[in-house]
Amino acid sequence: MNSLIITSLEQGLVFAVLAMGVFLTYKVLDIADLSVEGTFPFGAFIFAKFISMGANSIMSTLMAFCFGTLAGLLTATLFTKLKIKPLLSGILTMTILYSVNLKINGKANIPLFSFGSIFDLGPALVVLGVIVLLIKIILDQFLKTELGYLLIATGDNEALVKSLGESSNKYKVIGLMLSNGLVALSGALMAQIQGFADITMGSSIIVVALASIIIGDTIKKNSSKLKHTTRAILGAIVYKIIGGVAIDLGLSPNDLKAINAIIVIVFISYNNFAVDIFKSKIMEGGKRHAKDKKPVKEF
Amino acid sequence: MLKIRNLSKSFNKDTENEINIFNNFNLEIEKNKCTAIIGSNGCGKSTLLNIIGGSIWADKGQVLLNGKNIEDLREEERANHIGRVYQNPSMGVSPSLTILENMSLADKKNQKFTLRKLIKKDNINKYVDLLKTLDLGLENKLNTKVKFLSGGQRQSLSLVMAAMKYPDLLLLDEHTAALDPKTSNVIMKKTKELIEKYSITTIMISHNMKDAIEYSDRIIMLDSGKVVLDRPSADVTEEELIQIYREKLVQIGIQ
Amino acid sequence: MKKSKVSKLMALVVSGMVILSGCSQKADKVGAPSQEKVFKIGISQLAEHPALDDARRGFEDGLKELGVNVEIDYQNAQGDIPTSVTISQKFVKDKVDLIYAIATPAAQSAKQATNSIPVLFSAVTDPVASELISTMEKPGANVTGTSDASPMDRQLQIFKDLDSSIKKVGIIFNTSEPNSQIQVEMAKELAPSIGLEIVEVGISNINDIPQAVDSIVKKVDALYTITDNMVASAINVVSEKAISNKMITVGGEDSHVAGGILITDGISYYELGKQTAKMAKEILVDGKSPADIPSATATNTKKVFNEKTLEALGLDKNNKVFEDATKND
Repeated sequence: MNSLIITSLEQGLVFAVLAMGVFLTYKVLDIADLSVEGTFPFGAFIFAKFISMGANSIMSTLMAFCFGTLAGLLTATLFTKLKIKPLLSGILTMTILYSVNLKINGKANIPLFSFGSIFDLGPALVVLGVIVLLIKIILDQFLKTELGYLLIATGDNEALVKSLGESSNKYKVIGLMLSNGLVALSGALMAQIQGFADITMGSSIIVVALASIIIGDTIKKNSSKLKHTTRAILGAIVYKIIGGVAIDLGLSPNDLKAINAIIVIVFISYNNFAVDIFKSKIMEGGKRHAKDKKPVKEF
Repeated sequence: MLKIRNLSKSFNKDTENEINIFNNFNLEIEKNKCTAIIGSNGCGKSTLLNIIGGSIWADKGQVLLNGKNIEDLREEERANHIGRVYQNPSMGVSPSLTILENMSLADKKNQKFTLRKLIKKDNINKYVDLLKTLDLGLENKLNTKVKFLSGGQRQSLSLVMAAMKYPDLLLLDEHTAALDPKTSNVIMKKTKELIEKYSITTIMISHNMKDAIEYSDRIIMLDSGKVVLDRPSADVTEEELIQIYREKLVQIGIQ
Repeated sequence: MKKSKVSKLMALVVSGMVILSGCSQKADKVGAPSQEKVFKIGISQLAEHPALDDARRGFEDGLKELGVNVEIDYQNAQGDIPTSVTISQKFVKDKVDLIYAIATPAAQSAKQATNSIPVLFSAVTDPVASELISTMEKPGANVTGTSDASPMDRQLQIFKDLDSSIKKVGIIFNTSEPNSQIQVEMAKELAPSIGLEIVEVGISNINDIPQAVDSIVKKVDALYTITDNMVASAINVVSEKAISNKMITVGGEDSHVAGGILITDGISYYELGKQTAKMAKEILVDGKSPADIPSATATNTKKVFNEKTLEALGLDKNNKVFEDATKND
């Protein structure tokens, strides 16, 4: 059981970075950004390019992040300057990136066995744990800054951002760049785990990201103590562990995809029903809860 | 203080639905006073406010604020001088953030937003004092997310946030229309207190003639993009206004 | 309360998973009773696909014929690479005696997962370029296997043998498949010496195939279908359009001919699987190390032709080309 759990945890941590990236666009900015399907392999291919040119693994991984932000900039430009709807902008970027990815190294599959990786620094689980923690802390701090709050406000109410004298477009650009940077970083990490970069790496990656975010939301749903970034991380890990268990149980391979989908559905249902329970308890004035609380000041 | 000169605006230009709202419209708003603009639907009052605020461009004309033409500035650039409260209580706030976070954001209006932490402990007392003036207990709910507040509470917060940095001009866009009568009353009283205390030049659109008379210094009635009444509020009665309204409606053929 | 309904639903799903796991075919004990040791083999297949399925069945049947006693755990990643990685890890954890990986990413994941457990690959066009082995002759580590590289020179020659006026040959390929790129490059290298010129069109989505075929038939004299998963999935579309344009087609594998392509002199993935099974026996029973077993291309190629297509194109059945060819049934 051990090595399988470890692999699931490793993949979960890699996808935690992905989930944190998609969280920025999907949950904070309320934009559905499909470019991630192209950005994820883009990060892997950029990493492959740099490491094959002789750069060290840390530098190559960071380059993946930087180029990822450029992909986000493309989507944001299509969206804010050319006024193309965000969903379409994302798809356009993804399509462009497909050709770019092939051009970068000239091949659709790049083996990385002969190159070093970031996991030469230590056991993969530890290295990944450190990276995820670092990203989480930086993100959490960023979202507490003035700029970070404006990002949140942009997704919440653009009119407010304008009334504060700021351009909401500017923050959409920042959000999309940061998000895609993280997604590309996640792709570079996955390539190093797998040992190769492949153009098909990105297909259905948005499903993984969204499933992670949704599962994360259901964990201790009513507790506001869990930060969103923590939820994204936990969600990704849970999603991958469930997948790993499904494989380990020796399920018929044909049923695997269906089972994964059903798991996500169950989590979403739990999510929705729990909301109803919360509302009905407030309306009943649930005796248990009202006993110790001060009366809500009715206006 | 605010001068509108030769304003022209049409909607759906060059189509068969073209509507001309304003044609060489002129208006002057005095400083430190509250001016109410009333009129029936389609008379142009919302359009006028939107043009002043910058959410719509005019076709022709100038909007001069303290002598400076702001017509070329985008909406967010005009926010330097203008505060605005909308009819929808959720438009002036960030619902998923707390009262404290919203106040902190509003406090940074027109300043540079940096990578410093937004919430500064030293400012909390300032916000508490501001919120106390509303008498709604909001100062005790600093960490409550705004989406959990009632419409009236949200609107009061919007008001405070819009006025907090002493804008040159405050635009109130039927800001109590979405609230129940009792709440509406309270908000109007608080609005008057606020703008008198800080001497904020205010333009208020209202459908409620009683409110318009009671809470403003000057009443302007618009009809089809033209000023048909312009008097100090003290000299006007509700009955008079209703009478003029009826006459106008008869003219258009509605009774 | 609704919450308990959801809990019940979750319990149902979990029990469903356990029941299904019991129903799935894990154990597959075969072989002569005289052999005592049962070898555990993990099969890691990248995706559901006729060629890959054939490679698997050929392998399983081959082991049966050779009398090797095996217990097979078959896992399919449904095209998802991270799943392939997890599958490899599962086999490592289960301490299988051998991993059989079908398709390049599956093989690469297996290689990444272990450098001790023997890994046999199949349906990989260029194992050296994919860095699975050092050289074909001496793989060098725990990985070896069979390549599906087809005898392209023989296949391209068929065009000239059937119609010496053919100059331009069109190839449609999936840009996402590295094996396909390799084959296109190979064809371009070989073509001039046979007096041919290759015109290629790349696609990335199976829906692009009809348009791709329409555009290429205008530019070329004949069509060559390489071993490409996407083209194989839509081979009927390609063959029908070629026939209606009266074009000669040569295919990379026999499943193309079954789908209407005129003729192939190529590999059978089923036979390739059997060839790989022989290597498995050498490793498991004879105790050889994968490092010492050279990787191989298909030893048997078969010429197969499609009679209906031949008649539709109005060709002469007595042409020398069809002499040693078998009809596709």
